Amino acid sequence: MTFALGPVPLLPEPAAAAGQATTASAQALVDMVHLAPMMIVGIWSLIVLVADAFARPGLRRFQQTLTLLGLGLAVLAAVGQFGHYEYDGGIEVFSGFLYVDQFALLVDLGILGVAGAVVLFAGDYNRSHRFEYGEHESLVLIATFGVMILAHAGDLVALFLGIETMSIAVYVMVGARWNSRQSPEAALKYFVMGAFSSGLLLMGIALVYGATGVTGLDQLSHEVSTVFTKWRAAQDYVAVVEAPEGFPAGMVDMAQDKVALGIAPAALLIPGVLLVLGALLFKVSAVPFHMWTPDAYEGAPSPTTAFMAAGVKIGAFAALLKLFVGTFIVGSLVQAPYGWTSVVLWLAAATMIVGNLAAVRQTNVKRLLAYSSVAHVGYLLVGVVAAASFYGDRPAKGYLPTADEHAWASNAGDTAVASILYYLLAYAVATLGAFACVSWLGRDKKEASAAHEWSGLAQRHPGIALGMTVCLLSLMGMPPMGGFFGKLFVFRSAFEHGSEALRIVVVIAVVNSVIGAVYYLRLIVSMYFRPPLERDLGHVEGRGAPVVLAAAAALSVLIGIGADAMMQRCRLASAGFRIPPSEARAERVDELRAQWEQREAEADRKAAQEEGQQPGQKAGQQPGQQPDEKAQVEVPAAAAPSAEGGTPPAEAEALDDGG
Amino acid sequence: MSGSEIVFYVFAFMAIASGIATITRKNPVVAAVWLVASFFAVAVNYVLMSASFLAVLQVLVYAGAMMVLFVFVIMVLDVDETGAAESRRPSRVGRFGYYFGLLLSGGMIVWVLLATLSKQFITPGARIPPDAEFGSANAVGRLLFTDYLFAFEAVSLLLLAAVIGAVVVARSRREREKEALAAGMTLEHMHAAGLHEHLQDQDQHEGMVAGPYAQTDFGEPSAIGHEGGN
Repeated sequence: MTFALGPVPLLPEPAAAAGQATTASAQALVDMVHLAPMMIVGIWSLIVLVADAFARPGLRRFQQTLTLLGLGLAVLAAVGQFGHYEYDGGIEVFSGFLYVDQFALLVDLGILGVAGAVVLFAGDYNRSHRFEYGEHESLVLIATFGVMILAHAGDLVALFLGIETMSIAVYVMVGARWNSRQSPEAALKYFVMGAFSSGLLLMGIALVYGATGVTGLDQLSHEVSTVFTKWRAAQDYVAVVEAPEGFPAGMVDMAQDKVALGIAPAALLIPGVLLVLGALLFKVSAVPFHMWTPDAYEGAPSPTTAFMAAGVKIGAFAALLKLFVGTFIVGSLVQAPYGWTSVVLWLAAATMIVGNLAAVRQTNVKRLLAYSSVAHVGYLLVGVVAAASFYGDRPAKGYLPTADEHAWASNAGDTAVASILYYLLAYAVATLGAFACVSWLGRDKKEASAAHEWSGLAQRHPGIALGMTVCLLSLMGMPPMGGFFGKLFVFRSAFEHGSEALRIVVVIAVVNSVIGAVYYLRLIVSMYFRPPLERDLGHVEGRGAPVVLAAAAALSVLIGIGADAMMQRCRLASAGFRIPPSEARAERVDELRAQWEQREAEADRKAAQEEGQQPGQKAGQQPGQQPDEKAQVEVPAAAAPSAEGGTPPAEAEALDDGG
Repeated sequence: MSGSEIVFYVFAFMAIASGIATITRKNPVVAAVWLVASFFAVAVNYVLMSASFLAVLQVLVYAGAMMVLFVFVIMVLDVDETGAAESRRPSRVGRFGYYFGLLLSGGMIVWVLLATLSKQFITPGARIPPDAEFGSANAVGRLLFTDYLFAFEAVSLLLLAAVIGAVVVARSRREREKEALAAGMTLEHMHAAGLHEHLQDQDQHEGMVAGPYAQTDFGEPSAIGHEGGN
């Protein structure tokens, strides 16, 4: 990442804005400026739509250029803000309805990149398969807008709005290919299942609201713990209600009221949380809810599939992280017996097993990639469970004082969130490349997505095959690529937690990664070592897909080699993740930065000392290990100081008072 | 039992009864009219909860505009009065869904009744009387244009996406018909390119459940040509 721009002075300071006697409308304007990337995308979707009305059929390329211009502007706005909130921990806009923080901006940049790539190769694809329609770009922008709402969401209403905006635009894109029988069917399946899961989400939100009386994520995280405090307090009266003999009537009445008041919110909250969880698991296509994925991915036009596999996943995981890792992290909700993590952990294991085993059997590349994306969701969910366990569970480290345990758990939780972000970005890049390649092959209403049609691809199109190979290797988890470090970071932080179940699932995940190698390698072998088909299936005209593929392959390698810098960005984005943007978060971010700087300085000093003392030994120390890989391993280790098995007391003291 | 309680029970019963009537009527137009009745009954209950503005909106938007739309769609689609469901035996999955749904809703009703009778889960409702402003158009408008300003704006984009979707889907149909007219040439072209051979085996390995659209080869232009020919 090269976005090393400093804070931008153009933006008015939120504190100063609040200090002045601003009217509501002026405040709204200020808020909109803070949301500049999102606003640009939203307004641009209208501009593109209107431009389409005046575009002649031959001028569709102008449409594409216009859209890319808008996305570029939004990226510029996001980059301009990017450094800004590293320092102050973000702000709330529209009275807490949305947050603008580093996490949201990182997700914004990710989704803007995905949208740009999809727009780049979708035009050529639609033209070649003869179902070009002018609303496509506008729909991509609206879906992007939805994902950005999810990234910024600070309220359950915003979360629902974001999911719906994203989904409805994607349903349309899935079903827009009118010269294919599969496309409307896929759209119908996706729409019916998606509408059902939206219903679950809304019911869950209603129950959560009924239990707590608030919808803002900030207040919700307080209210959720209040619910369980009340629930615990009511337990004393349960005995009185159950055996009222011998108690005065007034006391029994009071006990009944207390029990009802104490138990009812928890009785509403737990089903509500589970309903919301089910809906979000549907959106990320985790296992019991994954049935729609292969059909929808296969039937949709390939660029739309790319958007679903990369963009929708980013959005859904942002929502999952915000809600379940950031908000519902009360111990009672996280731990067994009522907690969701124990369920999700085994669902994660099931997700990767089912995804991988089903992918091995596929002979259609799109279905294969669909199942592989299901498997990746399984790996990501392990990270989600790890992050929530760190925040909610506070695993005991025997040798640390309580305050340090707290700080350690917060640190480790932030690292787990950062690992998920890193994994998501690496996965999105590689998936985009893979689907760009799928969309490039075949023409005239016939995609060449059967696996046997890919045999000998390297002889016909060596460049494309090379790019695809890099992307597949990254998805598989080959060391120099981004996918490997994503898996490494996520599994590592899950293993660090130390709970038995998490460790077992990490082992399952590692075994699964090996199973995953079977189908990725089979495709690569088929591309390189099989004779090509006699007839040329042709390819989409236009440079969009090859450009995206090349960029994706290059980025996959770059993310891998520069995993250190990238992970550092992700860590800044996740610093103080469970604290909503506030003074407290700003303090936490400052504190973390100080810690990192101190640790880096110490590491430098040690390295200098070692070099000074034993100049010859260090070079021969680890001959087989790549220098960049070593650097990667050190980042999370430094972030969670007990990772190496023992923390020097001095460093543990430096971590004091994290909350 | 106070006056407002009597009104509540009468209209709550009406809402539930007309809701049941909605899903049991064979004639879709009749079902739609029952749905209007249900909306009206719910609107009255909104008034009881001092959400008068919401009640007005409910009547105007749901019972008015939405239902007109429903009835139009039903008439345009020209659905058979008795419904096609009766002539077809429900599949095993369909029967399972029917009984499972019956069991689930029955169980929930029994559970709610038991809980109500045993006074276990009744929270004493919020007894704080809402201020005079609560639920008025004034208060709703103020919230809508301050705290929920962004939601208000974003919903417009969401609705725009839905409208675009309707246009795209409707146009697809027209384009498909146009395509069917020109299918002869396209089919020939595809055969010449030899692109139709492997479709057969592609269908076999697909684990796709055969939906209503799955009767023909996917993406095969000849299937579209057939349709046009008929």
